Amino acid sequence: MTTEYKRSKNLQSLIHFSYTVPYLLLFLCWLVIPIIAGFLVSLTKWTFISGKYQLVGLKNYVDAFADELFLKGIQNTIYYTVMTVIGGNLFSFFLAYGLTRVQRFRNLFRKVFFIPLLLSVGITGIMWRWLYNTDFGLLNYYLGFFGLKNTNWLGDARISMPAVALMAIWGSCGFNMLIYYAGIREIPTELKEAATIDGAGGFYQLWSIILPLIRPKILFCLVMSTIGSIQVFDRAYMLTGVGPYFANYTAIFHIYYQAFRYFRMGYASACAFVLALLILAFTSLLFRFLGKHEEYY
Amino acid sequence: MQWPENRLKVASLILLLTLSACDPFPGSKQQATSTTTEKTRISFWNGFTGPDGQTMWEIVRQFEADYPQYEVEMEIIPWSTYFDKLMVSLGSGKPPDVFILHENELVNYVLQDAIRPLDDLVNGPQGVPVSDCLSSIWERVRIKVPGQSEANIYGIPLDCHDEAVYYNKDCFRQLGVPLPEQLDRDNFFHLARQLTIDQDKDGRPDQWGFVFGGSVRRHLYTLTAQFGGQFLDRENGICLIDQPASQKALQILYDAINKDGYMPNPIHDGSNLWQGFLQGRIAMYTDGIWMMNGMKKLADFDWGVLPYPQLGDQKAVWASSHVLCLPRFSDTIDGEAAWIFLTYLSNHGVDWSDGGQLPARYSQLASPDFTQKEHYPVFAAQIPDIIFGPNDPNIIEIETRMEPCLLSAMSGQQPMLKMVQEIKGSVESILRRGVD
Repeated sequence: MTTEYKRSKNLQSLIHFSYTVPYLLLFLCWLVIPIIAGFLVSLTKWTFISGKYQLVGLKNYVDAFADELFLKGIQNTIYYTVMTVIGGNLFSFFLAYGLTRVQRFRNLFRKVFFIPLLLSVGITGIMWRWLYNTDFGLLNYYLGFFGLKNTNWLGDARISMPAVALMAIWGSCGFNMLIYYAGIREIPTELKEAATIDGAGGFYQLWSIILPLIRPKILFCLVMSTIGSIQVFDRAYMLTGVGPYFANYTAIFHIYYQAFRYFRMGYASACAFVLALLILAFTSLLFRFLGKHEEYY
Repeated sequence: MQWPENRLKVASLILLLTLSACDPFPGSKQQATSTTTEKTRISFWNGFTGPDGQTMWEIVRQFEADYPQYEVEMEIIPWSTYFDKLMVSLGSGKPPDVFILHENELVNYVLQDAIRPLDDLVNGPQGVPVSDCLSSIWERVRIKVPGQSEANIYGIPLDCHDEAVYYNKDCFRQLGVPLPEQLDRDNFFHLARQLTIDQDKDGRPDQWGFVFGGSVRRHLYTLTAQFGGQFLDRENGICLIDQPASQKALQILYDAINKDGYMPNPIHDGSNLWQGFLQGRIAMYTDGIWMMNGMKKLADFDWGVLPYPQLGDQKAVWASSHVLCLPRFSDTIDGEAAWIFLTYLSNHGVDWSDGGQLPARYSQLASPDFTQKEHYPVFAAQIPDIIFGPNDPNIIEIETRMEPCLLSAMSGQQPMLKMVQEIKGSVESILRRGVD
């Protein structure tokens, strides 16, 4: 009886495992094997078209850290990531918080804030290029009412990256807003009522009740935004290309150009692994500071 | 008790796998193959996304009418993504039968072993008359690969595109300035300043005299050559941007914006400069012959073309060429069909010139169909003076690296000396590295 039960249990486990096989196969084919292959490529000098390659060890990694343009790309990427992750999450959170406070048109606002996420980056890129236009752009037009002179948003090396970040924050705030909104709505009303009875004001409730209770959501949004921001390419590419004097030249630009324009697959793979390590470092930091799991209710 | 349920699960899994392995449309592949056997298909990739694409479509349709046994699948891909797709197709063994490269890109692809040498076809019974092809471009498609004793032909020039000055006749008329026959250092600077007008005296001209349009590097190549220099010394791996010829060229470009003030800052106005010319806010604008296609459609705009200004000691103007290539390795290519199509395009250079190009053959340049075209002869007359960009396998990387620096220096955003040193350092580092 016991043996038969065990056999049946094993078979059941095997069948259950077999359900995951399609996913595991895809995971293996599209993620694990490419990562291993990518790492092996990063140890070679390989140009893809000719198929000829030569093992060079860690030379590509050494070259990457000695490449001023790649380092500038990393620097720009970090600058952009800090702006979009902090600015974008603050903006999304306050949109969500504001939504929970309004009663009328809540659904309408929610949809309006989400719409930019549904538009293609190509379209929004063209739209923002016109908004930022020095002579005819709406942004300068409205700023003109306050007596401000025309700003060269995309041509000035000092402000072109913040201009790209602003577009990114606008374009992606809807997603994080929904997560924060759901998180705030999940908080039991009794907690807020008790705090109100205890005399806690709006800011105190926000700081001591809402923010701690939605910490897992904050962590999720920060991690996802960080990963997305470090991989920035499309928005900068559409808006300014590499930008004035490489102001918007991000690490992904470097990888893309090296691989697909200059055919340096090995070097591009090494740069991609350095970027992956950067993402790992950023997300580890976030988990270190925000990842403590505590149940408050 | 567990068995029946498990058996059901196993049975359903087997059924699922069996169903997924079945082809829902048996015979569909066979059907597709049978339709393709009627005509030989030739795939042709290019980046002619503008009105030139329409011109190419017309030539392709004409080819299909003249050769009913062939069907051309032309794919027009924006240049920005063209090379990504081409590279992957060449590497994977499924490239197009015929594709376009610019002459300066050719050498890199040749060194990657991606292009088929065409010597046997060029010298064969259905060959191309080499002596009829523009010699300067022909030299660019003959490349000597390291380890080989002689240079081989790797492409057939489809066209030639150089630069000239488009001018707005109204801007001259309104100021009573006579239209010049040519621009040189005796009249250019005076004319450019004369045509720059600040009517409301707000410090920002309402009309600009002249614009060096498009990429800054093209003007750097042109003006450097006019002063008798060159940008690269490839043999010794030296970038010559700090030499007197390039310095004089850079000075002219810098002064145009920052000292003489006849050109608006491209950093401020960016892509609006050509629009500014069409709106009558810029009197003269330098750009390539490919702009002709759009200009021809402007009915209410009175314009003309002048040769590129000679500001140095000798004449020179940057040019480039689209080159027709065949892939070296392919699983699918029908070589004979591809060559017939390639030579057909080459033979129809005059038709192709409607797309805003110069033919790449002397006989076509001299044909009445071409010489009677308005404005084109101005571009054609510059052919003896054309120069090409540096012929280095890493030229795309070099130019991508230097263009933002040049733009920043020219616009005054970054110190010229710093940019010159940066360009020299990075270009020489790329040259030292060579081809990976």
